[in-house]
Amino acid sequence: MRKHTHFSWILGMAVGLVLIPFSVFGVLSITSTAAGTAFTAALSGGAGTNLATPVSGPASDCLINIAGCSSNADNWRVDVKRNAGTMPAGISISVKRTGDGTGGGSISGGGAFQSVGTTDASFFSGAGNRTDVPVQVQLDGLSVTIPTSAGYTAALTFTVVDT
Amino acid sequence: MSNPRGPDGRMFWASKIFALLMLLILVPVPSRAATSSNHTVTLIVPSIREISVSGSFMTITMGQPTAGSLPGAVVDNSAKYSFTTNVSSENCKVNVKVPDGTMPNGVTLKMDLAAPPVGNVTSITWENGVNANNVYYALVSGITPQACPNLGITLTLNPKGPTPPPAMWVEVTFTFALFPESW
Repeated sequence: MRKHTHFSWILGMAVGLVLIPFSVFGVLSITSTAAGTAFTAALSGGAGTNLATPVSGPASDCLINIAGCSSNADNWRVDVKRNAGTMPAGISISVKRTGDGTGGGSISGGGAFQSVGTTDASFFSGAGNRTDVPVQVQLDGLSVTIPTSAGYTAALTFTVVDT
Repeated sequence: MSNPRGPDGRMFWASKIFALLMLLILVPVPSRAATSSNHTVTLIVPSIREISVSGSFMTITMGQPTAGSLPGAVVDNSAKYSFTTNVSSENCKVNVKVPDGTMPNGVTLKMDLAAPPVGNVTSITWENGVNANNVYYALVSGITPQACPNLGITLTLNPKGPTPPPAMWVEVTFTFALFPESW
């Protein structure tokens, strides 16, 4: 009987310890409130001029939410990357954080346009849950040598990393 | 002999618990899985064919002829044309036309366009009954996607025949179109 009591106590403690990481810290998550940004190429100044470049989307085109933090001191980092998609090779995509959003923790970095590559790179970081962090997208390298198209596409991927 | 586990096995359980605790402490706390969100960037590139000519009006004045002779030819190259296209087509051309009946007798009007970096040019001469028929003629062809600002237009007004030409007004219309499919 005593052995059974000990065994139950040990089992309970073990299960509890194993579950601590999930019950205390929750699941860190990132969501964005806009499905995408669309740019339409246009001349910079009428006949005789090339396409305007770089071109920027709205300052709050993409709103990022960070959730699942255990406290305002729970640190995270947002990485960004892109795929090649169907975008012409000469087109570069940059992103910039244009605001802090709302939340009780902190946020920093990402305040200047940075070119997005095909591997994850640090974009901005912070602590605690954060809502509606605005991100602006910019395209560069547009030229009349790019063939006409109803829509070249590439996907940006924002990933929140526990730090 | 004494029992190292103790009479009720407490030493045994204590060592087991200690070992388990050490194991759990040493097991790395799993980092929370990163989650991602995608954002699609789309670039729409419409067909672009734009042309402009500097100045809506220009005046070419012939000099006073000497008695018994016709005035000399006048050359004006003050006008410029610019175009941009991203269309890659052999049929993309710069075209000009002069309406019917606008060229008087006694004068010819010749137009030469400066060649763009990629493209072939030809000239045209209008006179009464010749080419001045409201039909577009291609002056620049073989155009590839390019942006060309301020290319020269040379107009030559040349008296012809025994009679000095009267004052005249000629409207020249430029188009940048897929010749001859559409205007």
